[in-house]
Amino acid sequence: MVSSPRRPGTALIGLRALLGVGLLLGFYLLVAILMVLVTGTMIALAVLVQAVFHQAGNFFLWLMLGASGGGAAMLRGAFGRMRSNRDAEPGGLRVTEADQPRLWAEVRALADEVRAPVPRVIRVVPDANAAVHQRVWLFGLIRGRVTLVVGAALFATLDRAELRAVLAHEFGHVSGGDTRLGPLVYRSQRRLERTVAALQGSDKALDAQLARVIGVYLRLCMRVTLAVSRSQERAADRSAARVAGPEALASALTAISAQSVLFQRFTVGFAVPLWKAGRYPTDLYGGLRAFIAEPCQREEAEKLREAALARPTGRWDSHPSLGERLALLAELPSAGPSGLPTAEAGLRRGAGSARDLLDRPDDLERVLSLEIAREITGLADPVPTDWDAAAEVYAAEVVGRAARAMTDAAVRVGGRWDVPGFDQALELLAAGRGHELVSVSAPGADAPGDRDPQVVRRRLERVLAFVFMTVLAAEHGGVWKTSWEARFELEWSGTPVGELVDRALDGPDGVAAVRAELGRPAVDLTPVPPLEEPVHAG
Amino acid sequence: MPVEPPVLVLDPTFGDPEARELAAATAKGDTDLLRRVAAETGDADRRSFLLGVAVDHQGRPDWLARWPEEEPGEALAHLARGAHGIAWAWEARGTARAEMTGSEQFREFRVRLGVAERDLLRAAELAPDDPEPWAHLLTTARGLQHGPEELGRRFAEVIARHTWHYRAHAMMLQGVAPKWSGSTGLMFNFARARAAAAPPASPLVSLVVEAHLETWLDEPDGEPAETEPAETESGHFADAAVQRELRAVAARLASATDAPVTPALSRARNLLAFGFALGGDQFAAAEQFAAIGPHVTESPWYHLAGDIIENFTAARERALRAV
Repeated sequence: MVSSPRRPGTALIGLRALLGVGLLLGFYLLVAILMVLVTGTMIALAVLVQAVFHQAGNFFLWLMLGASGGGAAMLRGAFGRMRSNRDAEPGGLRVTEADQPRLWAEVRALADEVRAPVPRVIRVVPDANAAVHQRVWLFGLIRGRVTLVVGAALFATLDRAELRAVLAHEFGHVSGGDTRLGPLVYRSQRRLERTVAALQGSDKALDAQLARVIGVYLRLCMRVTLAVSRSQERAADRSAARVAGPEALASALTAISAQSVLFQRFTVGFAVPLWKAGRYPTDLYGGLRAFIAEPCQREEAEKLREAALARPTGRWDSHPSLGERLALLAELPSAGPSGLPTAEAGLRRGAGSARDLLDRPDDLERVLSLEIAREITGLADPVPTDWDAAAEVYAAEVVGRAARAMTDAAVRVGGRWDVPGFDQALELLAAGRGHELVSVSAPGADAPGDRDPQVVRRRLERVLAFVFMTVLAAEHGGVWKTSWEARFELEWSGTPVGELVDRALDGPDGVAAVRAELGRPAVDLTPVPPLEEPVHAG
Repeated sequence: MPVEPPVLVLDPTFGDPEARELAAATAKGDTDLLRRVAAETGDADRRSFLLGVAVDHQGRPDWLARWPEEEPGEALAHLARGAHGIAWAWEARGTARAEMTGSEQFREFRVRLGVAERDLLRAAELAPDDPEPWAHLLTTARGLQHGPEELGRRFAEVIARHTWHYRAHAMMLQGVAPKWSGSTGLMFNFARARAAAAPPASPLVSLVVEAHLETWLDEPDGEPAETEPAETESGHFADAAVQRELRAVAARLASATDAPVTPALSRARNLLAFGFALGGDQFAAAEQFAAIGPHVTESPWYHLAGDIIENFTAARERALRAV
């Protein structure tokens, strides 16, 4: 059993947190001192002017205040209204106990186990992260409802034991009291940052000096609060390890460090183009699962993991580095923690996906995907799109433009307005004029070595593949397919596109083979001769 | 003063009474005559010329802006607004070359051209046999930089409906010129192939002269602002091979002596006169000036610095003096 609801070391961290808050509140004191200094100096100067030169000191004072701004920007930054003083409600979908009974049961059991209050709200957000928010009043003395935020990408990628460890870590923050002062620290820091930004944006010389002083103070505060934040993370890790086992947490942290990056890449590569086209993927997270399972992405995840492990903790980091966290977890006893019921002790890596906790996960993910798309596109009804239909959207974005640039270049170089650019391109390749296509389609790339056949070949390969794909899709029944490796590919019954490109770049015989397969004609690119004067008979 | 001074006027109607009447009527927003002209499809080039005159109004006339909304099923409404939209787009852009045009002007240019393109595509849909929307779509394609392959596709749409559509050929030549989306080779191939295949005495033979004009304009000294009315032969036109080809064009046009004067034919002769004059062949130029009579065209004379009429008159005086 967990003997106490408090994490070990909580008292010490609490002291440091108070120090952080003290420093942030000290900011107001600093502002007051600076204001007294600024106005005091000006008044003293004004009095001096009046005494020595018998000039109107009042006027001089106003002049100085006008020219220097009198620290007004600093006052506005420190005491002006913040745009949002409340804790912003995290976005995403709110899931009730009726919607997701098993998830709620898991959360409830876990909260009880760490003696944290059971969350009143669970929200599922798009990304690969989890967090807890707690409403607090009176500098954290009174605590209100807890909201648990879980990223849908975690369900897609973690197993049950890992998700449990992640949630236990978050509850560790609640039971450790980290959420008491979190909002205050956050808001005060924002206020300081805003003040520095306002001062830096001002054109007054005095403000630039004030920005420097407050900037130094801000850095000092950040050093303290970030150090506190890292300590809180370590404590929450220890707390989670006791409940869920250090191995599960270690494996969850490792997975999340790589997969949050992959999730971002997946979003940019596969979701953003659909949103831009006013669409949304109906199976966003199914796509993410397939993307992450792709061998090349697994390799990528391994590289990301190694990079994360090699990175040391920085003094401006809010979390300790992955390496440090794993080292800490490795020191903890791994044998079945006393608090774990025996049935739960069997939960180890691979014992079922975290997604199994969800009821009708497909529906939840679909609604979430629609909600994200609505928010991003501003459309009430973005067009639902499955992954195969998505390929056409990706292709249109990338392939169409590049292929057109190449076929247009072929028309320019080949000089025939009435022959498709594709056929002229083939003719030019057969005649060894590929370098002309390169220099016309990518003007400015006219460096020495451009005629080097290897350079020309490299430059032509990719864009020729696009040209072939366009022609095969339009005229030979080719079908676009989404590829988790290359984003999209074209399926058709003949020679694969890559081989067609190789043949086209292999001189006249290769081009002839391509023409034979696709039924394309050879083209005569001899220039049309000038008009001739008629020969008169006499 | 010229030896035989016919009164020179730059007249977009070329003195054609019907064109004048049409210009006056449309200036008042009266579309009756325009509808009658558009319904006569016997002479596609004359129809094209008259439709051009009908929409040649500065700014965006109210009646044109509203017409397609009032009669959404009327092809002519879309065609007229689309054709006008092209000139209106160029009003926003100005006639300077791309590198001298501001980004705000360019934005407006593209917006107006985009609207014109949609109008013209709608017109083409409503009147599938009419070559005219497709001829204008060549110009929008050029301005919107759809590229030479798309230009070729649109040009094929025109000539499938009217093989020797003059406006379409002139616009296509501009599109395939290197300054837009083409190349010198593509431009000359197009001009020579179409000129060689055109019926005898067709003004389309002058496409070749126009291609040489583009080449002359592309020469470093060919910038209009720097070019004085040529006293002697000038650059590209002075090339013997160029003059030979100009004579070949002139010989093909010579059989058109008895043909009625059309705007296209006048333009062809102005081009030839210009080419011969700048190439220093005053005799050949004089022949063209005689055939031109009073029908001076803006192009190509506006490419020289100074006033169009003065440029024309000076060149004609030199030619006639030599004779």
